[in-house]
Amino acid sequence: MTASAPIAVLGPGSLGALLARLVAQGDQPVAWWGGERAPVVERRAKRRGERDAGGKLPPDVLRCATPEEALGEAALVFLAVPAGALPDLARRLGARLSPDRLVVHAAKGLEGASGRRPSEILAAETAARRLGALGGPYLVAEVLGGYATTLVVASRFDEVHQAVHTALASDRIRLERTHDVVGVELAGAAVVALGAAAGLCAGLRLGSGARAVLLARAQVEATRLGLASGAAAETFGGPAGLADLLVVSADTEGLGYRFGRRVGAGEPADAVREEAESRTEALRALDGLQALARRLAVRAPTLEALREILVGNAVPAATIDELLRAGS
Amino acid sequence: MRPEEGREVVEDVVRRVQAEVLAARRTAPAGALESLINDAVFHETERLRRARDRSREVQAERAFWRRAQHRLQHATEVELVALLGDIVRWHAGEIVGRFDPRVYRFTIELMPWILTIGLNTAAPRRLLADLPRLPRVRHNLEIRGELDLARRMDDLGTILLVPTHSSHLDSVTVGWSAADVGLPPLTYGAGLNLFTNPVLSFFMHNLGSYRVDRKKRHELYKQVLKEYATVTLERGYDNLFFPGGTRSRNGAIENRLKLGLLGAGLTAYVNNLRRGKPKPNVYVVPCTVNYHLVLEAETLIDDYLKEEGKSRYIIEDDEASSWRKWLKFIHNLWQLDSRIFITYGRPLDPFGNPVDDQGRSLDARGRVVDPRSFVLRDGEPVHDAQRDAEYTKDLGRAVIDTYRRDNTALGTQVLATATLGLLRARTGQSDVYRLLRAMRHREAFRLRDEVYPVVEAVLDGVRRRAVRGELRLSDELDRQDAATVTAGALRHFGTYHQEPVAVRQGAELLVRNKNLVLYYHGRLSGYGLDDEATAAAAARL
Repeated sequence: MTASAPIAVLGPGSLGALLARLVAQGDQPVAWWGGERAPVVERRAKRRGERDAGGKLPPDVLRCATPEEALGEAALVFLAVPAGALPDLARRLGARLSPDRLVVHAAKGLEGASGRRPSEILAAETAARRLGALGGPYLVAEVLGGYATTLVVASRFDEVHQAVHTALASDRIRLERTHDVVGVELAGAAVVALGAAAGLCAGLRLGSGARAVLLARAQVEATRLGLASGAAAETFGGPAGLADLLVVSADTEGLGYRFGRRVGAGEPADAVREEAESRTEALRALDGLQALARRLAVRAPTLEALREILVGNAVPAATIDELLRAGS
Repeated sequence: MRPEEGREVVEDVVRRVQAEVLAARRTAPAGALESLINDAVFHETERLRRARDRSREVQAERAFWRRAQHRLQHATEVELVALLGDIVRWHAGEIVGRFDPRVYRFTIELMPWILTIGLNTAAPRRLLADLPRLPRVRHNLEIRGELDLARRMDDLGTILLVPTHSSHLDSVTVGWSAADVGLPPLTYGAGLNLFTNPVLSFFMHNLGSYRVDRKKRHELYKQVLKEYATVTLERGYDNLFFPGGTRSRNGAIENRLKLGLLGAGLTAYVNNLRRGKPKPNVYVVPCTVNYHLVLEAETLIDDYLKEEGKSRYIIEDDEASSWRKWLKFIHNLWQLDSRIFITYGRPLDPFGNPVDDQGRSLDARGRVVDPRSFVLRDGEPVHDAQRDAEYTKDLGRAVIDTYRRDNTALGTQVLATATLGLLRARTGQSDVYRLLRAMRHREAFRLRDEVYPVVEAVLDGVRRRAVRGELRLSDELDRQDAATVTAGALRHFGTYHQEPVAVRQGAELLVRNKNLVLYYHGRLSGYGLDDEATAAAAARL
């Protein structure tokens, strides 16, 4: 592997394409795998007259048919897949993600039943050790539209910070570095869950005060979980936590938000879940947070109640009302 | 190490420390070198001012540091570098072991006899009468675990043996066990206080140890120590460190390690790669030592319980400083047919990965990975202090995991855990300090109705955990019932310590030394057995 080896971005959809685009803008060679169904998705998009996912890709983005091909000899690898798809991709790549590569994921969420964080999944399934997590308040459309934002790169290793900074930082993308991987991953999972909670509040036509109280309480519980897991409280109040939550809770077109809104508006949760299961990570994140809360014996009643509503085990209006009356 | 090689090692250490300090100076604030030397001079001068020792060695030290202080006052930049070299050379010279392979072989062969005769000096008539039937050290040391792997790794690379540390006796038992396993002499750092006991000092000098003076707390000394260990590892000398840094004060298995010396294995490995050494690998072998009774238990737990004593790092006035105590302890060991369990764990690479029987590193899925790939940058092995510190943390975690799995539960620990459960249930206190305050001077429990059922619950707990591979069992715990385990443990508890830990009085168990109950329970803490013991006790009281 040499310094001039390309950077690889593995991930379908707009986030994968966005990362490939950001890297290519820095005049660095990049190989991108957009998922098994990428060509079909792109053909459909073109038929509908839409732009390429993630905007027009520069010509020096090398599109690859398989993740193995994209991986090549890359020294820096971005895994831009949702948390639910990460275990399969990690197992598939296995030892190919070798210890000499710097591997950074952008998955916000947890493994549902076990509550494993993405970096724990990567450590267990691959040979990579120099791992990082990407977080922060960004919307793909805004980044493509030229708005400035801050990304957070969390890694135990300074060389991962440096490599990601070199790959992504620009006059519009500011990179914040932290060693608090646990904090960034748990804050990211909480944001995914709370995006759906924000939608739920909208569907229930709650006032902004009640919504803010609900989200703040859930965020405090997530912070408590983080502290019990060894994370720093500041992470939950920073760009990867609170800032991201502000963005996601206001993004009315976000998948999680839309899902929550429909449940709040009275559609049966089962029906919504079936329709949206492949698109939303909110339930998985809530499952994971709950699994973690049980394991660490941390009280998280708001997160638990939100999960019960979103899986259809509790009546939304009555449960939220009860939560708000109960106090913190 | 031959004397001429010792001199080479010293000069190697001097060159490296000088290079490191000068490299760090590029990014350090102005005056950093002067400050480093000043710190060393200040600490040493203060230490020597307090020393009561008037030996020639101490006089020479005083003269050296006086000269250093004088030179420092008028030193130019060039003179500072020269002074740094002289101080490093001075410390490295103090540290370097005086190992003689002929004496080592002699010591290893004779150690069982020396100890056997030593422990019988109190009863010379018995010695003569029992001469043909005298016990052997090998009978009392049960050495088990991955012994073949340890030998194999010694063939494939260099070994860093990292034992748990609960007693000064560890230095002798582990050193001797390594020889018995078939490993070459180990180079290891032993506290200066171990050289003050004449019996121990004999073994320390001849089992390959070098002297570490833990009163020397300044940064430069620590740097010299680490560099000395690194250089000897690179030269292929198997090393032994106690990564806990000091003896466990509460009897528990280490859950935090001093990572500075542990990282020497990784530094040596990268240096070996960069030099293209044919066998560059360094293997870390965790080793877990378990005693029914611990020589210095009373002093250690007292120190643990004293609020101000928690920071007391060096204890010079404990049981280990008295050779009579040593002899009494070893005598008891044989009288009770007590065994010391030394378990060699699965070897690890310097990144904390387990290795297979061919010395190849394995990832979390058991796939072979190239250890070089952990330290490559642009295809070349490089040092990176921040990265390597993270790898060493991973190694530390893997060592602690191995300690916990290889920890051998013994009867004294089971009875102490059960007794603590009974005390907790009776006083209703779970906090240790409150519990000790709430206890009456001597608590008694009925053996049949109270003690045995709780011992049975703890036995059941350790057996379940042993099946799951979470810890190990001694043979006795595998097959004996609660009453037999209790009787065996009480035999141990009733002897050796100034005040018995607990004794049988009629149909009752009388707790005599609650601090020692806490100490011996420590070895089984952290496995969730306390709650089980307390619940079983609450059901009986």
